[in-house]
Amino acid sequence: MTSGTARRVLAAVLLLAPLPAAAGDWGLADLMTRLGEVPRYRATFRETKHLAVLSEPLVQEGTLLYEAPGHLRKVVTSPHEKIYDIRGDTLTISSPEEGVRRVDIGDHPLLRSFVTTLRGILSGDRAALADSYRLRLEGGAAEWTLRLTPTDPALRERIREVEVHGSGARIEVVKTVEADGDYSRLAIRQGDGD
Amino acid sequence: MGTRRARPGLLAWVAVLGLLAAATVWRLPVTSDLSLFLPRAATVKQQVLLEQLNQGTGNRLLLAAISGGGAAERARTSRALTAALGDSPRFLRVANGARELSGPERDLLLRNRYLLSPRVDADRFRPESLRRSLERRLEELRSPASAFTKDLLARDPTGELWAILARLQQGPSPSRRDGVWASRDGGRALMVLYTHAPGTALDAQEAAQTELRRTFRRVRAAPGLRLELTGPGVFGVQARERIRREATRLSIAGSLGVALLLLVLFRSPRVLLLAALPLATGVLAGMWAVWAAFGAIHGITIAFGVTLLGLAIDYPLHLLSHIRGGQPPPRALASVWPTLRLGVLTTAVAFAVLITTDFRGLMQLGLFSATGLLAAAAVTRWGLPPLCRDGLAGAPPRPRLTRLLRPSAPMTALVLTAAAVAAVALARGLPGHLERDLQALSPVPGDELARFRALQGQLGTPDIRRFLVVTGDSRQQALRRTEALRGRLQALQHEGLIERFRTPADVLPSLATQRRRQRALPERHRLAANLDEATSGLPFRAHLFEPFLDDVATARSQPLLRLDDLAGTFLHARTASLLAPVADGSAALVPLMGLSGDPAAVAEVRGRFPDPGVRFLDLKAETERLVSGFLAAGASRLALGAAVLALLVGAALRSWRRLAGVVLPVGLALVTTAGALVLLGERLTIFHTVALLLVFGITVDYSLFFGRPEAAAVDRERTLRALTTCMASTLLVFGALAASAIPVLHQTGLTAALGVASGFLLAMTLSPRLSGR
Repeated sequence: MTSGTARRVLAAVLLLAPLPAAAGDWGLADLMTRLGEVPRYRATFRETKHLAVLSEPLVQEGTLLYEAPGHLRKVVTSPHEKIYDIRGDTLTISSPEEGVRRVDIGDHPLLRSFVTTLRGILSGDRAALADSYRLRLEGGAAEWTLRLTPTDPALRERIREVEVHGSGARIEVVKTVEADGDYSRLAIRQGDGD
Repeated sequence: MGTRRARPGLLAWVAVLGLLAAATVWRLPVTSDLSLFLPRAATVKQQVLLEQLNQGTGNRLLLAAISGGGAAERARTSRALTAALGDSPRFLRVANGARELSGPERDLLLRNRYLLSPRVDADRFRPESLRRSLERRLEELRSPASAFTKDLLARDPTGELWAILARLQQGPSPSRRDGVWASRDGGRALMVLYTHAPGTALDAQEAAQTELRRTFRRVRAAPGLRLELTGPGVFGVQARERIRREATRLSIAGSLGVALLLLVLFRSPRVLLLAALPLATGVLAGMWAVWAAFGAIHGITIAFGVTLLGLAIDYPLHLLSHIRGGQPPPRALASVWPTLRLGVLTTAVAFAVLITTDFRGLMQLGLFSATGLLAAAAVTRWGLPPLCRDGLAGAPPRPRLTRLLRPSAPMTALVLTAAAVAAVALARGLPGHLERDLQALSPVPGDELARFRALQGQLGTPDIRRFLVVTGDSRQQALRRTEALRGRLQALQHEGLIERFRTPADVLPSLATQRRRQRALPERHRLAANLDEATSGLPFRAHLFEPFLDDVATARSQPLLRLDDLAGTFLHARTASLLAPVADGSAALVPLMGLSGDPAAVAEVRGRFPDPGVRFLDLKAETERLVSGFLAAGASRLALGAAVLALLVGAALRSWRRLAGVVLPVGLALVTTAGALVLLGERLTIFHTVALLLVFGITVDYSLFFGRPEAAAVDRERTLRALTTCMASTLLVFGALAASAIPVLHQTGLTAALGVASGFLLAMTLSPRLSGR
């Protein structure tokens, strides 16, 4: 074997090395790209919170609205009306009883992590997610599960894992498990794609 | 033969002085806090003001800005720096916006929440209000913030900790980037630090700042990141450094000039040493006198004292100028001493008059300079003659110089005209040229201060200027009276007259209030029954609220919170700085943030608080009053000194003509100098006044020497030579100082230089004529 051939083989090996990960029919990059392509998103949700301090789960229902890149709106209709509206770093909470309250997300590091996480998932922002989590994707395009495990110590004190189920570009369930075992399950049913 | 005996004596003296100086430098406590140059406070307002200037949290404040690199790197560095400094005993508080109240502060508030919470009353624990609280908690659990609120649910279901925090954390919050405080444009990460040491304790400040900078270099996330530090403590340390550096540089330049001048005139290095001995001895004597009387000496006293004592270099010059080649010193001494003695005594008395002021700094200065002058004169009289028994190989007088400086009619007319112009300028311009702003006395450059204010604005840390001062016979009474104002203060806030306020009772309620809250707490079994009723139908797990029942039971008999219990937390500094001891009792301060300077608004606010013991304090106005008082004290002592001088000189000379020959030039020199300062556009400060005192002392000497009857022409020549040498050397030293950009040095130097020149010319032209020569 001439040295020229050897070099060519070596180059081929190096070039092909990343292929196995990308070669699968469905990868993290594909999922993120698909998610990132959704500019607008409206869905109804049902959130169930299981907390150790309570004898029964707390249930809330309403609608979820997302507009790329950073606007997120959660309208709770039951059991009490309440609207959470996030634009940039400002969270506005309004309810008939308490009126309107504005919160700087930066003031509350954990709240900021939660928001970043949710926004990161909805917009397919892999870099933002990789900042605080280790990401693992299971399943295929038709039925996938994305597991996020916090790497940031402050976040790990509160969150054990975030589990996102979906199919294609559609997110169906976000399950957040807190460090003490409490968890919430956000089931999302997407509307007729406007 | 004489030379052989004199030289060891001289060397021995120099050696002893050196040792004593070393011992003094080693042992003498030098202070640098500013209060020394403020009066012993007479009124409650002044006491409060001084306390604020010296001990207030405001002067412990350091603001740090991290620039360069990326936002994430800056935020990471800000966090690392906060974590690294969190345990340092040099800092009371290090905040970067990531964690608000934390650690010991939070524990303390939590432990004492039932004594501190404004919402605690008997009604708070009845079933209906408990039910309302619990429903609110349930709503919080539904919200995304549940992860934070659920921790405290079992202990604090009524939310008292949040009620306390809401009261403490009023006010605008700074903007953030990546979770930490940042400038509005996002380009810099910002931090707020409070040092343990007050901003006036410069050594401790310097240590804290050094630790901060060193830690920053260790933890920064990228080498390109820079730390910018500002705050009163930083100004203090920088100013001390600048003054030290510049004063050293200029004094060395001035001293070299004087040395060169003396070498040229006397052509003998020994003369240099002989001329320096009385001055050095005087400085040491002055330091010891202040040390003995005050236990310590202020840095500024040393700087100014040495300046005033610079006058003492003239004494040996008078003596040495009159020693002729082969003549024994006693003859020269006999010729010079009577006049010199009178000059020394009058000047020393004039300086000593400063001891009668209310300003401890001026008192020290008076004692220092009066003692130093007397010591220097004594060394000249009794120490120097034995050291130059063999006479000096002095240069003969130079007729050319003498002819040039001989008082002539045109020259007199010129000098008098200049004096008249200056007097008119002074009379017209004086009222507008008195400095009332403390800032003008400060060596902090204006742009540094502007930078500090800008950062302060971005961080929302209040620039507190206006207060209510609430006094009482005791701290408790002051606190109770403060609590009684709360309703009206809140009304001011709602009406928008003020943005917010702060009281020491926020963290430290009066014992009466704490006791009332404690009595409102129900017994355990009653609270348990109420809670059962309140939770019925709500999904809380059974026995969840046991910790709550325990805590309330503990709180019913827990010791009441006192100031000492806050020790070790930032809350202590915050509260203690709002509590000032005053002459007969205690004062509580209520800063009114955001009150505009509009006189109508101020009058409106003042009018709301006619209560006994409540005063309105405007920090800036009160400081201006203090500074004016300082200036007035200096000026009145100058006048008193002049009166004493006239009496002494009159008694010694027993001649109206000769008295006029001294008083007139001295008075005119002071007027001319002050007038020239006004013409140069200077605003007169206490530093000018102190320097005028020096002008006063020097001109007295000039007038006495110019005015004394001298038989021989050669003596007149020698007197003229001595005085010219004195004037030239003084002018060299102060001319150098006048070139400085630091207000203290510039003002002192300019005044003294102008004064020495005008005093010399006036004494030369007027004294001989008036004295009838």
